[in-house]
Amino acid sequence: MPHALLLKYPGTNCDAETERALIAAGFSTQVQPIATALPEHVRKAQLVVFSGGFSYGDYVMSGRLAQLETERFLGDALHKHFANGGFLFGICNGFQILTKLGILPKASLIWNKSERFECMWDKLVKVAPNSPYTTYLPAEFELPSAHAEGRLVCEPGDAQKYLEGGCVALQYADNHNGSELRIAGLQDPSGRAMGLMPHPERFLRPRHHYDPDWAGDPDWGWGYYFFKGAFDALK
Amino acid sequence: MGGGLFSFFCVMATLTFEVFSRFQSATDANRLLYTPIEAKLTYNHTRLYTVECEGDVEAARDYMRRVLVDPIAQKVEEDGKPALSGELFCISYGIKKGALDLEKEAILTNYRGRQGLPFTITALTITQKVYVFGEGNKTALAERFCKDVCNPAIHTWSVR
Repeated sequence: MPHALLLKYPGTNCDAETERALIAAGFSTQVQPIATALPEHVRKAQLVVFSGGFSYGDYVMSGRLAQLETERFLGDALHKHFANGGFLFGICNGFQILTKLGILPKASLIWNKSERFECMWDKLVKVAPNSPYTTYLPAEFELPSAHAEGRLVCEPGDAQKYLEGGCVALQYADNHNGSELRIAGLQDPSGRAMGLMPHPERFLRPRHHYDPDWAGDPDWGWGYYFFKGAFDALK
Repeated sequence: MGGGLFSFFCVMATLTFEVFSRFQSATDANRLLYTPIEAKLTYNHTRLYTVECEGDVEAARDYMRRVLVDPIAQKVEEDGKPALSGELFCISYGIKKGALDLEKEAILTNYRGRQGLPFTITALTITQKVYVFGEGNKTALAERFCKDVCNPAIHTWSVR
């Protein structure tokens, strides 16, 4: 059974829902506070997950202190895990951490264009054809979002390169936060490492949808299929 | 005694890093106030980190840059000059001495947890700077903004 390691930081607050989603998809799981995380924990996992929240209070900038503490406690264990074929998945604050760890293409997530925290449902468009996380998802689907620092920015010209190079996993249909090229989710060229701002773990069951008559899928919300896709690619 | 002599010959320095966004432009200053005012003012903000250190100053500078600055999204002014210019006034505020500054503690926890760094950080001060742009009575407007931006229970501030 594929094993998922979920790293938890002071301020992480979506670990319980994310672990529930991982278990629903079939993973065995371990939620590990970063202060007691060891490279051995990473070595045992096929998937390393960074869930949402406000790690270290988003001080300095979101994800920065989590990145520094991850490097302090785990050294290059995550890079080795990735080089050896492992999967990494970052959601919201986890996406911010993953971009700073240097595993995803170079980008940064800054304050939304509105300079306010925004909580809403996003319509998303599937872009990269090879992502194991989005294999089972339709071309367009919805997920809830809740973030202040979700506007993706890159060095000039990089966003277009990512789009052409298959590194853009998801785009927003309406781009409420002002991200370059409407990018909502990035991946590495292999698709094994992915990060996205919306929260798949918050749409696990149809009852989590804002519309009580939602009929997209009788058993699962769209968020479930991110975890199911990763599980099936790893089993 | 050796340690004392070493300390005596150590280089001591004060480093400043005023960090600001490459992407954030000045926006409606009424967002800072509980009750909007008529004056058409805008504002932008930066964070000023002042680090007292001794030992290998360049290594300290590199470490702090790595901690504080995102090269994609941010710029930094390191020579002590204000990062922004043309303001009507600028409010600088920070956590009072003795009050818990969680951002400072988070940075220092990372610093203390790193082994073998060739420098010592002896003090870190974080100041938030709010630059207000536009025209009007500087003194009266600055007083109004300080009242809503700063909290006398936990902040000290100055206006320039």
